[in-house]
Amino acid sequence: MAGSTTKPRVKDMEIIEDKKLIQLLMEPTRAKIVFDYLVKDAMTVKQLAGVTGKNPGTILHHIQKLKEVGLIFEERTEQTQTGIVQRYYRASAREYRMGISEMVQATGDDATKRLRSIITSLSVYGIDIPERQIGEAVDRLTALIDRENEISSRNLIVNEVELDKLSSSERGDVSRIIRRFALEDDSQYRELRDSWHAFLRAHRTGASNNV
Amino acid sequence: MKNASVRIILDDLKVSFKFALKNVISYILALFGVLIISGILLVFVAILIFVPLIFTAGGIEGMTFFFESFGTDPSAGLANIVVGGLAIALPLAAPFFVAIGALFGMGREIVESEGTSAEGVFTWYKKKFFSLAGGGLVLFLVVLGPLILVILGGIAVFGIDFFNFALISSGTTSTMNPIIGAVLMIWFAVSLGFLSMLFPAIIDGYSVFEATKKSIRLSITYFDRVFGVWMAYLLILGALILPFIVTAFAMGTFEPALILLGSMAVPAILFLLFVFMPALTIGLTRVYMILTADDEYEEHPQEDTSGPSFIGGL
Repeated sequence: MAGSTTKPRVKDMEIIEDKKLIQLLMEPTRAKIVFDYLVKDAMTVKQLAGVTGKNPGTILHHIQKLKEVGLIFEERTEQTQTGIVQRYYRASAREYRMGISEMVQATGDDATKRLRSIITSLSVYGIDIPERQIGEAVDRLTALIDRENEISSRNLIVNEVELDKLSSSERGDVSRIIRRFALEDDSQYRELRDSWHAFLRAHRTGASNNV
Repeated sequence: MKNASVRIILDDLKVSFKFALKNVISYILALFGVLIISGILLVFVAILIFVPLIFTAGGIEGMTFFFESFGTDPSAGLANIVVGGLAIALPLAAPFFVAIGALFGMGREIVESEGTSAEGVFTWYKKKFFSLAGGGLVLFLVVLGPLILVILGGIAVFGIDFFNFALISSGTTSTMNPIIGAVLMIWFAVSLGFLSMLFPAIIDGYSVFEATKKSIRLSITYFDRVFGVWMAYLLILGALILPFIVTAFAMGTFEPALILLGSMAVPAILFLLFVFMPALTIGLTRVYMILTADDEYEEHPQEDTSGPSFIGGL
């Protein structure tokens, strides 16, 4: 809510599992506002209108929707020389991932089609999965990503104040090292990953062996 | 920044009128559009109210008799008439409350991004319809509710003679008792002042109840700023209404100064509708946004996008 005195801390990563949130983010302009801009920096309605090419009124309505569900918050307010009062909005996390199972539930056929399309597209890398096994491939990949999301969303930070002092590239690198470490440390994840890789290997055609 | 001084209040007024003038075309178009929509909704609501009434009362004659009976039937009770009157009047007024609230939406667009568009008003009208109607209802009940209660209480205690206190009769005409008139004006100014942040808060996403609380809280905490700017707008409103009062006196007289002032009535109403009203919505929204800004912001290190990542994505 606006004017709130308790400002949320920007999280390192957030998994979006709420079906309503997923549906809300299916709107392209809203997705662009959050994933392309507000995860990186705080921006005003005017700035967002400029970069998206939408009118400020439209952006303001999207901002209000996103604020209501807690995906973004007001970081600060500034008055300009011309007298306007600019509010800077910021995403609640630096990176978002959507829970695949929830995305399938929220969007129905769209997410399923996208997953099937991803599996089919592996052929460009020499992995040809026959039509009758696409369902199995989708299930394996979904299980792997779900587990990855579960582990990655755990708060592994022990010193949040120091983390905020790092530059964004340092923070990104550190975060990736630790998340990779946390994944490799999880036996269930390793099992799912090995099973998925074995599945891919089994469908690798001769062409990719040259790589 | 949040507290008031003469310079700050003057700045508030200057900025609001500057932006109102800059967006005058959008406001003119929006006002016409929103009035047409409100008119259509008014007809629709009237149909919803009166058509069932016509059928239940047994035709138009029956309905006429029904309303006339309130005047002659002492058992009808004043409270019933007032409650019944409000039950009909409030739904009819609701579209216009929403229209005023939607103008605050345009004001918000201007305050936050320097610009708005005429069609923007319809988005606010549609998206915040029930909240804005609820806000209007709160305004109506808080501002007029006590007045109605006083009238009802007065009539209950003193009977119809109560009106003799309120009105001063001279010959065939009656005018309002100046003391009561002054008290009423003070009440309107103060109660509306406390609720001046209501619509900006609704536009900001608060529920009607939360917005009412927020408006009252801001008016108390920042009394000088909220009431300072509100009173300034009321003074300008008074100056704009003056030509209308003068017109009434100027009729039949040939006093050049009065005629000159009276002739300003038409430009005054145009200014009132298309510049003052927008400026009021912009000014109050701007003050709301300044007052709700978080002072406790600590400068965080800037997010630098430069520098490559050494570690690849997962």
